[in-house]
Amino acid sequence: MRKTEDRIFHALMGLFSLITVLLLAFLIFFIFRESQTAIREVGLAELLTGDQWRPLIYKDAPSYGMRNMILSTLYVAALAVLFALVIGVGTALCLACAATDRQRTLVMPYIDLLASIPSVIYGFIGLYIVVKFFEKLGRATGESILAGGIVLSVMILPYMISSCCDTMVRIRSRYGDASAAMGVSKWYMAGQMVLPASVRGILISMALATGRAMGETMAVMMVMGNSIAFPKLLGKGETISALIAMEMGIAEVGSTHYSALYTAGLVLMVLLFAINIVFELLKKRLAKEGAV
Amino acid sequence: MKLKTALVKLWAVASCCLTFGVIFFLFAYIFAKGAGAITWEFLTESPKGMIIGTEGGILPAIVGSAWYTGIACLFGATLGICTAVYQVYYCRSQRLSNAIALVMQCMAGVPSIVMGLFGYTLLVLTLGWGKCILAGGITQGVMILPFIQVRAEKALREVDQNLVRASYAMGMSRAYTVRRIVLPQCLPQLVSGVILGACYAMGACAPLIFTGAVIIAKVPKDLMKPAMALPYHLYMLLTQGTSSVNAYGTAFVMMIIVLVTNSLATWFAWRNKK
Amino acid sequence: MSDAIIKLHDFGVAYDQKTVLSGVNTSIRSGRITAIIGPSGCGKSTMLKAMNRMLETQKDAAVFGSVLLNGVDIHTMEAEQLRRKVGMVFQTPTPFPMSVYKNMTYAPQYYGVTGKQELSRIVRENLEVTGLWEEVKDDLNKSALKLSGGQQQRLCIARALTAQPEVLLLDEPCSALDVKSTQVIEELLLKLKETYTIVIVTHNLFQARRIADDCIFMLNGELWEQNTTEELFANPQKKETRDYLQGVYA
Repeated sequence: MRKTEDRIFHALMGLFSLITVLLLAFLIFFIFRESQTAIREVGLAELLTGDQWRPLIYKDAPSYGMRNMILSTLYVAALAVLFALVIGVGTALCLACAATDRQRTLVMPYIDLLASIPSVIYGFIGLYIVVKFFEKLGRATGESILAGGIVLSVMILPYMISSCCDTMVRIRSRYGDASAAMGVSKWYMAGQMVLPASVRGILISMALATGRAMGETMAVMMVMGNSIAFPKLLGKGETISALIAMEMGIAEVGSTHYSALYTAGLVLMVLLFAINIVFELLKKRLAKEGAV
Repeated sequence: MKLKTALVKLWAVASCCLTFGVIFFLFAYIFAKGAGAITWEFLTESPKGMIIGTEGGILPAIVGSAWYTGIACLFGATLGICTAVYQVYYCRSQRLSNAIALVMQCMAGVPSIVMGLFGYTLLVLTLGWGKCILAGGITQGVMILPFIQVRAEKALREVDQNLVRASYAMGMSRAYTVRRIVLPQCLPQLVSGVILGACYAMGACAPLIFTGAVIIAKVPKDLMKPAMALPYHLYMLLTQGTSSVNAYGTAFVMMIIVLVTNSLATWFAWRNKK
Repeated sequence: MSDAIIKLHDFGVAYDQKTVLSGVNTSIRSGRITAIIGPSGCGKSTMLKAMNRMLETQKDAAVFGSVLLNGVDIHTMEAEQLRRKVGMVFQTPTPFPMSVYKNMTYAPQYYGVTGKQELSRIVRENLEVTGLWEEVKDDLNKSALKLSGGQQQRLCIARALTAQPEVLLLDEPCSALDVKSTQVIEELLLKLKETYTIVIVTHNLFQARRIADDCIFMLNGELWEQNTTEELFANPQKKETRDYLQGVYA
């Protein structure tokens, strides 16, 4: 009786896990399948390196080059990670080295709260505060890659902070007493020991944050102006995800345009994958050099 | 060295202040600006006006979002928690367990817009459901699945293994042990994970654009029909540059949901620790 | 005793209102090795940690009475100043996750030593004292975590010496080490007592007997008996001390 129950339970859990795994397989399969038309008709090289994206102009041949979008995506993500790195590592250092355990547990939920704010709200505030601010400074339009980078950096800040903070707290709890026993101050410890020792942890959190930043859609779409131009710091730009979100609604199902948008999704996923590998290699390299 | 240490301190403290300043500002700004827009009519009427949304309320969007989120949670939590249970208590090979973890990591890394593409081609087109609440909800469910699974797995692993071994030692089956010992032990964390997942789904707009959300619809009654959603409604209000009063109001409602769900989740997680 | 460097007066400690140490009156004599022995949970580590206020980094420890270092109450001193004078080595070796060289310059740089030659001299001298110099001199930039357990603990002792302390506190420094490394460290401590006052907590009675000049026996959070090691082992005054030395509590 109980044995049958256990078997059924086992089978059920196994089945659900299988479905979960299959979901990912399906996801990859469908994205791949739908992007085939564009890859066949336009060619991968043209899709990746072409600087013209004119899907709707019919007298000329339409063209589907997404180079500028790829560059915009990388540019805005890099900016965001850079800002978040400076602020996030600093905050993590402060929380890990200066705050007591109790203070930290009290404050951490607020950091998590930052991660829970919907991206449209970030876009909203970005539009009304950041973009407006640039316009006040005298620019004709505040929508820019820089504005996108700033908004995105706040969005990835919580991932950066909690991941770095975990590493640093671990280091502090292991070596903090030994450091204090030598009579050095906590800030000396923070700068001379905790920070250098957490380089690997910081790299991991950067990989995580880069992934988040590149995949983000709504907020960047709202503050970057969505122009298919070569990305400049103060110019407008359009990320891959924004491109998909903007045009999927108008693309005819099964058309080259439709397929090209799936290719864009595929490219985004491959980019994320590649960046994760780069960070993984960096991590290994550091380990080899004995930087702990 | 003194100077260097002072600089480190300055940098860390300044970043910390900036971070918490931003958190405070985000909430204060939306609350201060949005509170005025909240009236009984705003919460209980449909959007109206020459340009949709300039007048009237957001009831269909609230109910729509509740539907999307409910389906997403049902789908994501069932699969996520079952996968976690399988991974921790049934799968015997370390390799399979690592493989599941890898799949979850990959899935968590898939951008939400790509999730939207997936839902569009599979649910809306291939299965022929069309844009509807069910398609949107399931797409969001796939998105929050790894989110819930990772938290569930962590909670399951934290259960005192001595209890589990003691139960096995009495000849109890795994199913019985999981049901009677493991799940009750980590229920608060599981609930907390699902609540956070719900909050994530509620705020996510990208997966819904092609799978369910529309600019205007009645209060939804049919799962196979499209419906409004809060984040999409807010997006529409902003990009069409219409009523910013109602935009602040919509944002206010979403922020309240974020606050409430997060407080609940934190409360559940803390309650168990005591 | 006139040459007492550390004095405890009616000293006590409580964690969360639970008393773990009470009514301790004792003196640590300078230039000698004092061993603190006793069954586990008797408060010996707590007493050691109180001497450089490392207790403060733990839980909610409340401290009563006074501890005097050279006649000055340590609670009126700044913790950093005190810890510079009273160094500490922990049970498990804790080399920082950086190079051997950086481990050794960590404290001197904090205290304002900047010259490269001066730093190298400090590194070399202290490594030589601990006998580690010959073993690591060719590769000072290698990660300290790659040293063996015994080497790591000697590095920690050398590192503690770079702060130029007067007193060195050791909390069961050999409990994580093998016999050979333990022997090396014991020889090192005997050498160090010419320059530094050493207080060592140990659960190893043989170790106490081999290296300590004075011995403090603790039981149930109280100082039970104190004497020179020779006297204490040969002529314990109290029954419990005799029982412990004969292995009843162990």
